[in-house]
Amino acid sequence: MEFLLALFGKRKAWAWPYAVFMTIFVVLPLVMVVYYSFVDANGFTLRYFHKFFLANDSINTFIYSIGVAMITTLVCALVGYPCAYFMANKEFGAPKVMAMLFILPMWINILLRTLATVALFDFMKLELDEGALIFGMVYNFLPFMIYPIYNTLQKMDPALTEAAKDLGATPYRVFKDVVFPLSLPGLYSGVVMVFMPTISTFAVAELLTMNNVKLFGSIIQENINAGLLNYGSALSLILLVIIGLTSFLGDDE
Amino acid sequence: MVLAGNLHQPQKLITSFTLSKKELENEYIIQAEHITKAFDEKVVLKDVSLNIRKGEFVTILGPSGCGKTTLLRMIGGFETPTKGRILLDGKDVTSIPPYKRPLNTVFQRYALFPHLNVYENVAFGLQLKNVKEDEMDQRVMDALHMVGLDDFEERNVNRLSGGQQQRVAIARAIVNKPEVLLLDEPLSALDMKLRKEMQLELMRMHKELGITFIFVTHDQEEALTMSDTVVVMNEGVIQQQGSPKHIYDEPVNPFVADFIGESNIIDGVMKEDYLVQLFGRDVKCTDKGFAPNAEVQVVIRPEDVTLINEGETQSNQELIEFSQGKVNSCVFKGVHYEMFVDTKDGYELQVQDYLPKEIGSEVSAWIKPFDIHVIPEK
Ligand SMILES: Nc1ncnc2c1ncn2[C@@H]1O[C@H](COP(=O)(O)OP(=O)(O)OP(=O)(O)O)[C@@H](O)[C@H]1O
Ligand SMILES: [Mg+2]
Repeated sequence: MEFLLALFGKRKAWAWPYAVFMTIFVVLPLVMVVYYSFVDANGFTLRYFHKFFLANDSINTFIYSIGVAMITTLVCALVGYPCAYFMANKEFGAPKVMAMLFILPMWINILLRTLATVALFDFMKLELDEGALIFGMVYNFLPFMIYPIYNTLQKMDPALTEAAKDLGATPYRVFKDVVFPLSLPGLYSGVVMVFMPTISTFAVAELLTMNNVKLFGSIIQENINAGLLNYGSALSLILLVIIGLTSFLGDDE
Repeated sequence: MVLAGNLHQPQKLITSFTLSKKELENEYIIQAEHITKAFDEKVVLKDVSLNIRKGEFVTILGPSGCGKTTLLRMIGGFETPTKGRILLDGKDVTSIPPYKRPLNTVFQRYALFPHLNVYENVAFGLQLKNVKEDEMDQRVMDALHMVGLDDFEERNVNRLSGGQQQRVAIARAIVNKPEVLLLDEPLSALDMKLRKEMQLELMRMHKELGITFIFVTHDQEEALTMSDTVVVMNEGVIQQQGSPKHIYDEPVNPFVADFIGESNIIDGVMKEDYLVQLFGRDVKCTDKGFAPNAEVQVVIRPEDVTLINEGETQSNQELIEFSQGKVNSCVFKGVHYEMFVDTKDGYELQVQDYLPKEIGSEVSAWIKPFDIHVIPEK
């Protein structure tokens, strides 16, 4: 009894189920990925990484994926920023419903949305090519760009823009010197939230290009499906490091 | 002082009767003409007219929600009046956006730019006007010096104390040499001691800069200490405007009397000029011009009442007795004692004096006719 009290009487005890869950579903898989990347039948090896850097194919796909992710992120930022700006700006009287309409798609499964896009392209007799891929990616990930920007813009103290106007700033200078710099954290997290998933996604690419365009995610998936667990793990690790780096850069600002 | 260099000097000394109408108008830097402001259906300002002279320190005083900020924002250009117009230096600026008005504001919650350091915050306005580097440096340093923040240029504004942020906000405004400085309750977030200190500093700056200050507050003591002119507002209407002494001594209605300092407000009847009936007695006073037997209210300031113990006499010929009663409380307030007397007429009279009276003692209340202020009822 005393033991149980000591265990559950403390607040810390409540974190236990969470810790167990995290260990089984997050930490353990991660450890396994690292383990399989560096181990073969004979013990420690760098063979899989070697293989990756020698295989032009995978490297090209890798660079191509990063390119697609960057273009997607850029388009998302260019389209998403103005959307977020107009939604957050009370002067334009955009109703809250507007914000909901942009954020609602985030609740729907990504595969469903992509299948719908394929159907749409079919219906409009549009070709399923790289253009379709970028469109699908942007369409899927745009809300992840809009939401964080909208959030920072909305939380910004309106007195700040008034102070800028008061000091003689035209609407353009108010935006350039105050609103935009202050919304950068939102933009950064938008970039990270779009870039990270786009670089690893494969289903969208497969569906939207009839499997013609391969992204890095597809390669990992194919290798693992083909039973090349170690190589797949090594590729995953490489991807993980890249993603880690981007979010690290984002945090820096 | 470099900042004060080419600014207008106060023109309070102008003898206005020698000026033509046109020049007389120019004496006013701000003129609000019949301003009405409604948000949706809610009317916040009702037919407000206000003239402010160049170089004046004007305080807009009133309880929370009476429309002070709204009026100030209208002068700054952040709201447009539903009706009426605003003149600046005689020119209609009603529909001119804030960034084109030669005014600067110190905001209620400072509104410093969190992504800029102290120097960049203060230099913000100068940068927009493309002021040359050397001149900008000089002016920023002067402004920081004026608010007592030398050597703070590189500091992060988010890590400054409330008082220091306040000073940066003031420096950021005055560095632009505005013709009018608008201040919206700039001291309300500071503690008592700092507040008093900043009051004195603002008064000093006003003198040195020689520009017009429009200062919003709901603290009557602050208003009376700092300003040349006090504008008392209530529920969107200007109640009275005048020098602090005038407002204090001659409140025009019970609201002003009550809001400006503490006062006893007693129903009375004006028998004839210079004679008012108060608690059933006829008492001499200095007011006139009311209809005979008009119902009036009589304002008596607590510090103007003299209490005399029962059975004692007093020798001051000027004093007249106006009531009697029993002391029910007596509390020391730092400088004076605050006492309440239950009068025989069923009124609770508030009195302030440097000497206490014993609780429960019978006293008579005396006053000089000059200290009786008669105001029309309602
Ligand atoms: N943008 C707005 N929309 C609707 N109502 C408003 C708006 N701005 C102010 N009001 C209303 O106008 C009234 C006056 O507000 P204002 O801010 O001018 O008061 P104030 O005298 O400055 O009060 P305080 O001393 O509390 O700052 C309030 O009832 C307020 O709710
Ligand atoms: Mg206010």
